[in-house]
Amino acid sequence: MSFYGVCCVDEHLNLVTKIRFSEEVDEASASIERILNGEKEPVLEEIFARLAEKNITRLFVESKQLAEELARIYGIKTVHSEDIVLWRNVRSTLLTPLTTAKHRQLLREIALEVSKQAIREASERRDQLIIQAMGTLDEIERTLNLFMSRLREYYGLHFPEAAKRQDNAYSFARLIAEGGQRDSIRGNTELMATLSKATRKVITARQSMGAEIGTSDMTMIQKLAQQYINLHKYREQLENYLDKVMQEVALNLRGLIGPILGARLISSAGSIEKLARLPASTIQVLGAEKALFRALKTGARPPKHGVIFQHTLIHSAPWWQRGKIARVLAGKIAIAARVDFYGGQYLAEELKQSVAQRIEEIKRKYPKGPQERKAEGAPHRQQQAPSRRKRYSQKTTTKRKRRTRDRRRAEH
Amino acid sequence: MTRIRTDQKRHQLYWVRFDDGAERPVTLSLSSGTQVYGEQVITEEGREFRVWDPYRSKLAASIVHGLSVFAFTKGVSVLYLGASSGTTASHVSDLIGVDGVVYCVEFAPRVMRNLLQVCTTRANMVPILADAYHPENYLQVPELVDIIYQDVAQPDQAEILIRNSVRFLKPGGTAYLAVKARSIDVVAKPKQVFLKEEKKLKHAGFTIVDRIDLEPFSSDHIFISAIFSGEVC
Repeated sequence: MSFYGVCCVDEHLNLVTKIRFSEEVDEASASIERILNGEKEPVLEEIFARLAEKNITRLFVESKQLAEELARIYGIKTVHSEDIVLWRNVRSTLLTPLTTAKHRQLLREIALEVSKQAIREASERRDQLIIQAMGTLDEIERTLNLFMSRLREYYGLHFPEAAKRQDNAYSFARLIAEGGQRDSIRGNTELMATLSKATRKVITARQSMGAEIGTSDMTMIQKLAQQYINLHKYREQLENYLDKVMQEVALNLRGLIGPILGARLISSAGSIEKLARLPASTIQVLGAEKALFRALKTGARPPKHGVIFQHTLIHSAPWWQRGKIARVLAGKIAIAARVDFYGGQYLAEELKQSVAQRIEEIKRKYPKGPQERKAEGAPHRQQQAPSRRKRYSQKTTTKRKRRTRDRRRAEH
Repeated sequence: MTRIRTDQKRHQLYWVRFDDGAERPVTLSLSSGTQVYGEQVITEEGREFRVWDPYRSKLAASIVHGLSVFAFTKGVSVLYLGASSGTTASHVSDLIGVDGVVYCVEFAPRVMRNLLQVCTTRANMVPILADAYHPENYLQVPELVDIIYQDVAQPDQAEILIRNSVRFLKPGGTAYLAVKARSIDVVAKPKQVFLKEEKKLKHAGFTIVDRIDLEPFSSDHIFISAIFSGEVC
């Protein structure tokens, strides 16, 4: 079978029967799609009827996939053949007349149509939407931070005392958008009521170092604040949307580790199917590729966790338990993803329970960090690597540095 | 002033010399008025030439480095594995002209989207959305081809080339492959990797006729040209 049609030959390459697909591109590509999707196709039915007339019961097909499909749908004994020489000969002798310009043109148009259709199907899959939404979410996060720091600088010209208050970025943006000038904030009792006590105090204080700013200048600042607020609202909507889609696509994954982290894993893996096929060990370090390949290349210590570090169970645990917990969690994530992709019941709760159980065990078994290494004064990262490999870094990590690093990660 | 000229010694290709003395291959555009990847287009005597960037295309890089066997002549048929967005494939399409055909195999739907756009403007490009590891499933290729060009960056890329060659490459046909050491084995030394890949090809009946290091255009890559014996075991 080719994109032109179907032909059957005997063992001496003599033609038994053949049918061309339609010369209309749309019809031919529809036929081919039906065959590739495992649906019944009149052209093939016709072929099989003719073969039955000639008492031919066994049929060899080049493509294994196709052979299985045909056997399933038409119940005819089709075998896929690995006889490469045979297929080469079919191509070099029988099909060569089909390489004229006219034929090629037809073939090209059918191939274009079939590929377009396949791509349409691929992008209809919802996990691709998750990946795009996840990317958008990350970018909005960055943009919000960027806008906020600009807003503090900008508004700080007028009211540095209020701009310095770090309590809540969103309420700060509202303060600017709805209030603006110092006096109009003070006059707006409704707005004042939403602020924290300490902030209120700063605002009501008479003196301010800030410069007076004209209305037209203030309008521009307020517009930026409004953008911030809008974006903030959009992020909330996007998060809700992600949660909803995750419920449809990856119910167990969402149940086990939450919608955002689940979506992040899908996006790191490329699709829910790919995630379902990954081994737990790979899932454990997804997102830490740089550290992983550095470890493989130089023999430095491999990473303990990738994006799953963001899970509270891992980043709130003491450092010496994190690798163990990451391993447990990755194992359960792998199970959840597979159940989600290949279709199965809801078992996130059981998975969660068994993770909790294992973590209890870990906490009981390893309540303290490795004592002897601490006593020697050697930081844990400096464990002796296998001698035949080059060590990546000779830098020592002091205890204090390590503590600040861990804290920073936890905050992240 | 840039001038385009053909070079008899260098495979009859068109070359352009820029003001700073750099020379780059160019191809006569098959579909004038279209750009594929933002490449520079030079019009001379009513003909449109596209500059072939060796930093973007490994085939261009190997030509700049003096590729010795160059089989992309008018009218040949090419099976292109790993066509990606069609950057190199579009230049191949220019080279072989309307009488040739290039079957572009690509597995990733996302880049296939870009490739399809290139294919619609070029009458000799046939897109195939398929896994190059399973050439038995290409229903689109009804002939044996003159050239297989492979740039897939897979750990088993030699195996992929062999699988495709035994099914689709004419005896005496040419295989080109860009070997990326880093995607075969991140740990091993590139040179060891290249030797191992060549050995696999020789074993499958290929004669290696050229190997080119693609530095400085792409690092840890070599470009192998090989002739296929046509003996299929």
